[in-house]
Amino acid sequence: MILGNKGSVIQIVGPIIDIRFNPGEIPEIRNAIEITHKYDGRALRVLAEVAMQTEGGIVRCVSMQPTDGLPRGALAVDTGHPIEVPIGREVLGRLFNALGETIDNLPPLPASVERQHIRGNPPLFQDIDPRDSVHETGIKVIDLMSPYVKGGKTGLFGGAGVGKTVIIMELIHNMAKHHGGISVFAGVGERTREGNDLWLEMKESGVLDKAALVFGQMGEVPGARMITPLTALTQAEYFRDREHQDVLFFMDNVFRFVQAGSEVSTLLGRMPSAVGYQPTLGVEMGRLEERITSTRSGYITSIQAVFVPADDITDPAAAITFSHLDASTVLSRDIASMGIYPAVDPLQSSSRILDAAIVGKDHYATAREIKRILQRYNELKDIVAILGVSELPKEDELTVNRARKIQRFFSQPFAVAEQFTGLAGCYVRLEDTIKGFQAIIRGDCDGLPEQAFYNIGTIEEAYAKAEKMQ
Amino acid sequence: MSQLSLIKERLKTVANLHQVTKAMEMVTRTKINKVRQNANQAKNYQAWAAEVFAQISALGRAEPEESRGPTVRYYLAFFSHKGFCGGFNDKLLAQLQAALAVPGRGKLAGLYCLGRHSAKWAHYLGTGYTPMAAAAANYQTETAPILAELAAGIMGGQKVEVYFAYNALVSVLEQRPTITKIYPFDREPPRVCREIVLEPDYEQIYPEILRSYLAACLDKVYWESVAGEHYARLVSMQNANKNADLILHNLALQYNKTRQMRITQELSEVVSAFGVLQMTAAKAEEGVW
Repeated sequence: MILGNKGSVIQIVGPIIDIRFNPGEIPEIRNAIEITHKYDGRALRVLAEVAMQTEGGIVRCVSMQPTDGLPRGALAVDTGHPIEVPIGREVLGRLFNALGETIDNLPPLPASVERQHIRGNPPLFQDIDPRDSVHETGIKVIDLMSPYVKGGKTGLFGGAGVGKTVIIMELIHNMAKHHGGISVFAGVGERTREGNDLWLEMKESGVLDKAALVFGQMGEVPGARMITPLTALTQAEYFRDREHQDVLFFMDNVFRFVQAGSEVSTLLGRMPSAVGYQPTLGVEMGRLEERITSTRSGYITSIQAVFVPADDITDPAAAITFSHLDASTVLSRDIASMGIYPAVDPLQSSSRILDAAIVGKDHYATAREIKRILQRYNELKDIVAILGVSELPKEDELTVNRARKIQRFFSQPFAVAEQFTGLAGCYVRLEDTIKGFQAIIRGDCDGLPEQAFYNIGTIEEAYAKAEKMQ
Repeated sequence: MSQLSLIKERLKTVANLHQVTKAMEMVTRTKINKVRQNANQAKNYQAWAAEVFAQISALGRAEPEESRGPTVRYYLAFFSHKGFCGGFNDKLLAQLQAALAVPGRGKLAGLYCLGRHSAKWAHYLGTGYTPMAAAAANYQTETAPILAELAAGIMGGQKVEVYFAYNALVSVLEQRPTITKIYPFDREPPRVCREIVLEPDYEQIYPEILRSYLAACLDKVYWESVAGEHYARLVSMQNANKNADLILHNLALQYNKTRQMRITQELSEVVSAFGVLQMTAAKAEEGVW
């Protein structure tokens, strides 16, 4: 019989481990359990987290590492606290896994490094400090149609292969460079190669020494993918609360966090909810998103990529994320198939601060007019597809022509996609963006060919391109 | 369900539009023979009138150039009477705009646009533009004062140029925008002349012959344009019907797939939830939980 805070593994089903403890010493939910066993001549150590307490002193745990080789009867020790990860200045410039272990082949962190458990609480209501200023990204369509909030939360929604990761990389390139502050990146359930790309990109652009990167990519067990955002967030919270810094927090991809939760939920034997998701979907998302917030001591500006399964924006995972955000940038397959990148859908994208009182009259009026033109174009699309543009009244024909120019002017070469487009990336200032779109709306550019607006930065480039084409 | 209702709404819109295009195609088919017949008759009559006019003109004494003063230009443009005929009007409008913009070719004295669809182009054609409905039943009455004005101008010693802008009927598939000079008459006088007796004399008969010649030209161009409009509409509606069929087919497929996906999803949710309930009950009985 095992005594004290020691237990014994009684069942292993994939990443779910049942451990029997002494009935009087059952570990609390969320406590970290360390399981050790000698396997193949070497010590196997698996960290798990308590997810359920059942009868007879049995706790059901979610493993954070592969359970291969772990037998029943292995020794389990309750650490008495949730999983802890390193925090502080030492984490900057380093790469971590979900458990806070360095994975960049550099010397390990000093033993004196401070550690903090990952299951923190969201800030108190009275400490939350909502802000209403624009965080310029240098991407025209985003700055104009769904401006990001400084200290706010933004979602990048899109189906498979429409360019979420490229946009998030470009945002890191533009924002981290211009921002100058601390950045924290959480790579959740995506390709491991992308983590490598990001690390190299940050190293090249010289922002790595001000960034911490945490990865729980698609090869990891669901438990690790579930806690990766929490690990990164714990590190970001340190800079916000203790150093009173303004932090940029990037997460790619929130859906993988939900998916990992769903995998774990099924293995825990919970009844699935709508579309097969876990019944605790709202709580899990709430616990994560409520912590990503700005307080009086500092702000966290977060950009989160959200995969949209089957391009259905009403999918519960996407829908539940929407409600937490200040701005949403929705990527569309239709626009991507036209070769327009970034494939942002300006009609579905929105922002809380797209208000004349916050962004200014010019910006607001331009965005509204662009929406009106594009909405009209959408209404006319079927008629154009059946009868052709020539059957439209002259004013509608003009609307269609301007809408097509607007669509193309939304495209822009990215610095991180230079090897694909062969064009140097460009950062467009917000005032240049507004000026450009106003010129199209006014009809100043009616004489220019559509193609002149494709993959350029400012409107002056359109004139230059049109001249070259002639 | 939002996606389903959106697809359904689009299906309905496209189906309604398809009904219109189908009806237009049928109506055009029934009218086209009559119009083509009129166009052929008017063409033959105009050819004969042109020959006679050339012969009569050759008999007369031409006015000396210097006595006629500056050139004045008249344009008559023949647009469609109804819509749904593709680029029929647009191409002609573009050509007319280009012709009017050429400088140094005399003063523009009149620009008359025939066809109900021409009424909305004031913005493109500028001042001095007169739209005319010119329906088949009364186009001759409506245009009579213009022809009289032209004849009077020519007879009054002005150096008048008359141009017709219209879509020449090349084939069923092609209507070519054309601007042709109707007067002065550029054709060489025929070598073999019929014997023509003018009663009472040339001076009195010439104005009437001139007016009749202009009327014959107008008839020919008018009916050619109307026939072209019908052919353009037929082709345009055939294409529109094909496009609509394709869109409807794709939308129906998308609608059915989405619907089936939702049914499958609901079924799998019910089945899996039932499975979990059974498993939980079994485990509870065994005392595992």
